[in-house]
Amino acid sequence: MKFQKIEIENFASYYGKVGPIQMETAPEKPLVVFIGRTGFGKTSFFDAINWALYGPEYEKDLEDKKGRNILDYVNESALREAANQGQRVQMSVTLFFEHDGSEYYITQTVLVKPVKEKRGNMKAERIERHTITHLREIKHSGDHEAINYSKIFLDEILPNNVKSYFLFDGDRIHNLAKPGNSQEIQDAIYRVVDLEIIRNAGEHLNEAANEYSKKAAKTATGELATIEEEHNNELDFQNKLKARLAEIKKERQAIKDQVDRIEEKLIDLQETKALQERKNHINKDLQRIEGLQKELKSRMRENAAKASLGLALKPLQELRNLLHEKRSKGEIPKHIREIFFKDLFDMQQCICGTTFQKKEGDPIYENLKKLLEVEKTRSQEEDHLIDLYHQLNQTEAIINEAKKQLEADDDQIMDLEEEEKKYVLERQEIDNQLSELPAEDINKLVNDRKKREEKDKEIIAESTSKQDQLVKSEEKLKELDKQIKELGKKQEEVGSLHLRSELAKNAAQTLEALYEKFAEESRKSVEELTIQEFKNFVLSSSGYKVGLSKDYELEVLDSNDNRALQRLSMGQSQCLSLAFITAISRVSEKYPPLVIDMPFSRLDHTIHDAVSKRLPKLSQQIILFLIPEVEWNQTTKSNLTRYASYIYEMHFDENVRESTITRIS
Amino acid sequence: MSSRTKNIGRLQQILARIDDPNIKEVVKRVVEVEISHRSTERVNFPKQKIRDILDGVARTIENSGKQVTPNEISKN
Repeated sequence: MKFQKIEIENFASYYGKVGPIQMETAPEKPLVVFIGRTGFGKTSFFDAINWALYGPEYEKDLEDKKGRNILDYVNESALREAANQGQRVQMSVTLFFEHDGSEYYITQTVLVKPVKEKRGNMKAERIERHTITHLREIKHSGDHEAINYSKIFLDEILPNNVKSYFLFDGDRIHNLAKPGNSQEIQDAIYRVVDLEIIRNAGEHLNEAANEYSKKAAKTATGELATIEEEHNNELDFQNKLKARLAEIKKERQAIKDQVDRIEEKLIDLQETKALQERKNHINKDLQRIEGLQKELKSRMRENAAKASLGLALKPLQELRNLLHEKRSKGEIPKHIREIFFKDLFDMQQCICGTTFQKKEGDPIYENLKKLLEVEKTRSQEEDHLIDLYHQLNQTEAIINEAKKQLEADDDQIMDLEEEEKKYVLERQEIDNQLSELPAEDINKLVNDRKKREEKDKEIIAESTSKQDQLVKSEEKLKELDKQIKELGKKQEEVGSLHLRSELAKNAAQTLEALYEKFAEESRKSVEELTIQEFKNFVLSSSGYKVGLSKDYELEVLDSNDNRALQRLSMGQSQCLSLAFITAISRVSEKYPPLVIDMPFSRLDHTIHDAVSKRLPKLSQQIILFLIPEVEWNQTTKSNLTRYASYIYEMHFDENVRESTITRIS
Repeated sequence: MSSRTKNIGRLQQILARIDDPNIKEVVKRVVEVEISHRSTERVNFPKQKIRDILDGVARTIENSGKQVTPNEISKN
């Protein structure tokens, strides 16, 4: 998607018809720059783009987030003029854009009449009940074809819940890189790379599976009805478990965010710095140990299942020895007897020396044929015995290997537990020392953190127990599924409903597995690109290591591996956000315009050069709103001008309270 | 829209990893519905479309006498 032009009419401080303001960019000049002081209409312009695209949905956003009604945007002068002339006012915005080789435009229109309030102020009142939306495609023939505007249209281009990661105001950029914002970061990645689609699809399929299952239970009779009911109860139980586990995940993330914020504060206090740094190291080691333990335990579970066959090892060995003995004695002479008979047929002579004719009716030939049939069956049995011998050898090797691995893993787990114990004790000691520090605020912070960590422990225990229940429930459901399938064959309709339920459930499970995999792959890609982009933005970043943790936290570590996010300057922190935004945009493979309101406002002048050199390379089209001098200065001007297709200056006339836009380049 | 799937390149790659053809068909079509109704409120989501997809694939299985195979995700 790329914006082409916009026309504004009586919107906010824009009086009458303003525009068209051209925004179409050439590939080598992806920028459109708007320069204007605070209050000159930059934010209104930003709102106009959003309203044009999302209409009533954006009106709802305005009410929810800014507490403003769309009617508040009707231009004051237009309203007064209409009151004097007894006319109505039309407020509209039309945005022309190109997407996937086709050209479109969307117009949002509100018709109002002026109403005088008690204090003499003018108020707009709707004439039409709703905002009127027109969406048209400009065909190659030049015809304008109306398209039914619906959310579906924009959901395929730039969905409303994703747009906020492309249409940015300065504050949101700044907040992204603050400590304790992992939820926002995770949401951004999940939405932008379409993970929410997978999650929603899984949820809807699970719902459908439950519905079919319930319908099957109602239709079933006799024994099948009882099992169907049991199946449904188990399914309900499992769904509740899954829902609780999802909540737990969120709760843990929230606790972690809170603890992180507290730790950032503690690390800034001189008295606690050394202790806190040591604690951070310990926490990292504990995380490493936890990861290793998880991996080992999962491997041990697999090997335990194999090694449990060890109970049958003795009879297996005996059987194998028996077979070996028989083979050594030639009691399993594979194929030999069969070949011997075939030789007799070829020679046409019996073992006793009597000759015979190889044709039907000859008694010797008939007799030998019968004996050969018997031998053929026996050969198959011998084949099976030989195969069994080899399988027994393999099974024994698998059992022995699993036992060996199990022992090695057990030793490693014990070593890790020892190591974990040591670190936990040391961490407790640090916590004691921290809580004994005299400063009141330190005490409070340490106690706050302790409370949250204790809560986290409780939640972990609950999560572990729920996970175990889930595994058992899955097994039970599988068993019930099997029984239903068998009995369902006799009751066709139930079988058919169950097939649908099973299909939905399997599809949902497939999506669940993909979801985890996709999430982790996306996180890694975003991390990699964020690191790369941060280096491009901040040349002085070499002293810092940037990362995106598994908990979706933007991390900055100094050369001693201490967390340094809080120590970044406001500018560096904003660069980290910009690096992250660029990374998610690239990973998403969606290329909508990037609209940024005041990207330099919080940056030191020293960073202006690096950021303004990098900005034109962030996306295929970038719309910037800049404050003169503060943001549009010698440095940024010389770096941005050559990449700009259009540069506009915004003006605001205090007397008539009107904004105007003039092209300057 | 001339191409409704262009914007979900990565998602398509992931979905291509599903081996079971029946599950793949269900997932592919359900995801298409989800994309089209991304910002539709939960209560207004067209659940019937999901049931129609399941019905369609289930009927194909029933007609061909096939069984639903357990889902497998390619290890590639």
